[in-house]
Amino acid sequence: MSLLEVNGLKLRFHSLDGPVEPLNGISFQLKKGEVLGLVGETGCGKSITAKSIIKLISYSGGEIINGSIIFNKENLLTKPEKEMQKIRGAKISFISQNPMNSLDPVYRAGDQIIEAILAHKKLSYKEAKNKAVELMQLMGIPLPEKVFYQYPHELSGGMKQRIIIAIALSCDPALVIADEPTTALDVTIQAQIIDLFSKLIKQFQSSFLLITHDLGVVAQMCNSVAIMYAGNIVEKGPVRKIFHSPKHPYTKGLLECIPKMDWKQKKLNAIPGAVPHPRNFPIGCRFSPRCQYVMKKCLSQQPELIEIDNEHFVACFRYFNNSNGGRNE
Amino acid sequence: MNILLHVLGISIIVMGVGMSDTILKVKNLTKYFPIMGGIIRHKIGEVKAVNNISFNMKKGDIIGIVGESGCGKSTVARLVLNLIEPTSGEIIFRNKNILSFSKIEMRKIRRKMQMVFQDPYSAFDPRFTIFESLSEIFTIQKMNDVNIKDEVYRLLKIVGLRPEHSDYYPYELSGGQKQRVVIARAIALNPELIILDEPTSALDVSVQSQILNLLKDMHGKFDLTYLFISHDLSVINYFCNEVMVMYLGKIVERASCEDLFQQPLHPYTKALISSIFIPDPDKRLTIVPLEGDVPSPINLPSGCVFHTRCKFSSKICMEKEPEAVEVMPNHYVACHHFKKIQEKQG
Repeated sequence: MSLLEVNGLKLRFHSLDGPVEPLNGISFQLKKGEVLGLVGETGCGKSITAKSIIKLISYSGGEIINGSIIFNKENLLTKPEKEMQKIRGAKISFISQNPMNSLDPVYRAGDQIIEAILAHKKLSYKEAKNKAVELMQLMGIPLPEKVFYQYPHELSGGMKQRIIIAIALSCDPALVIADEPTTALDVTIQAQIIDLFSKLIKQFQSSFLLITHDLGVVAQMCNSVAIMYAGNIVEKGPVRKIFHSPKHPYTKGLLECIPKMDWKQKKLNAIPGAVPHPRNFPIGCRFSPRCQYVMKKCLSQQPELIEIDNEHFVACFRYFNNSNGGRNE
Repeated sequence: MNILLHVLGISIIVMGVGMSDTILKVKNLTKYFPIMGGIIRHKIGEVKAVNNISFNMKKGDIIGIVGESGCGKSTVARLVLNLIEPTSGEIIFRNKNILSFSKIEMRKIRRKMQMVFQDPYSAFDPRFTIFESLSEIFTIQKMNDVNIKDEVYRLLKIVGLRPEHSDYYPYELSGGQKQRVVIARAIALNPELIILDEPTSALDVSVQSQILNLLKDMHGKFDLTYLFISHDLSVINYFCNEVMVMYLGKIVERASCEDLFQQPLHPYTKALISSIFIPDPDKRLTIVPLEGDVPSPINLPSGCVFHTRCKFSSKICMEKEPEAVEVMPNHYVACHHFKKIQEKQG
């Protein structure tokens, strides 16, 4: 049973130099209780995908021109703004990248949690406060009664991120979208937050969509992964299959780019070139200019995602002739 | 041609002197930034960014400084280049204390010590073409005998760009390409020491590995010495020969990469290493390596600065600051309890 279904999502941004379409009709599903990692480099379209799901993309200047977003069997794209407001924060919540800017500097930390609770639940202030303190405790915040009355500038980055996670989980959402939740944090604090997430995932039974560029974080938290490149999903599947037997040349390259800790390498593998700008995506497979296996077909046609193994999908012509799991070489 | 001879000249000298030559000595370096406040803007406190650190660098070394944000690693970089004035301490580059230098002398010595900053996006004047940005170096250094055009093209070629790129404006280049130009600018005057302050943290992983490879190639080609500042231990492990771990303005451990990653002795180093997420779903982290946050550098904890987060902490840690001890050859650690940790590792 899928909780969220994104089908053929296409966006358009208007700019002075004409329209740009950074997403090329992407589709994916998220099951109940699943933790899906959406991975890709800067500009691949992962954050705008997340913003489209909660229909906040218009605030970034974008417009959804095609596709559907089915959440709990309802298409969110046809819902009026009033109903979306009831869904955001209550059923789907969003954790943004930068904990430093996500809290309102003039409100106390605790009141910001209460605001989220009272927006969706009929509780008295006192009941909401109890719930907020309880949530802060759950987030591992020491002395929650004290932190409740503190302003964001009095809190460290890790503490702020904990408050934001508390806000996101305050109404027991069915889906939590986290956009690079640990990127702005230091390594030891990142380890604390990821550990907290892993506990919360078990406890809350929500589905998580984790957006990140850090494959280490994905390996740590997710049970399935979708790799994005230049507005396309190029590979998706269970986390072990993606990390142990990556199929798409981009996924392979990405994994080889990370310096390994267990041995000293002479030279790192690098993917030549850079991610193309959405204004001049290559014709054919968008990875073809950087791909070492490029064929004639890749330059003119776009490969579609095909299932090569149980729940393991890849969009590459190298696997097209024999779609039963064998490789075409 | 002149430049070419210059390059050859330097490499001959280097070969003559040999690899054990110390080029940089940092002695008891301390930097406190004043906090101004009140109605009459007087000093109300100090941020103790760097506290009494000392280290040596030999020709050809690649030494990494690793630590979390606010530990003072970037301040060290700026201090070494004399871009900011230290509160106390000495910086000896090629047997000369550069802190006593006049502005003109400093400009001359800067040819020999260069820096690559973290953010390539803000490293260029947006109204200058790449050619203008690169040729500016030679005008500032009053090198009139250089054919600037040839030199700029040569530099671009070294870092893997084409001569056409010299007519581009910074916004027309990608982040990785910009960082290549920053590197070209750093090597333009044949420096001996380059300080790399998080050269890849603003870049994507696929581009990061290109830049790391480029820097590594150049290290061999031009006999460079690198001081590499990063918060990413896996990058440090790949790139450096030696590592210094900093915490709250102090060097808590220094060792070769192999030693440090296989036998970390300081509890903070251990925590840092265990908070790396290995990109393998079968190697998930089971315990949280470190509780709490980094204390404020305005009110440093007494004794050992790490005792507030350390699980080995005892009474002595709160009272006495540990000295750096050479536990094994070239492996220094500043911790009262390193023996206990060493035994535990067995």
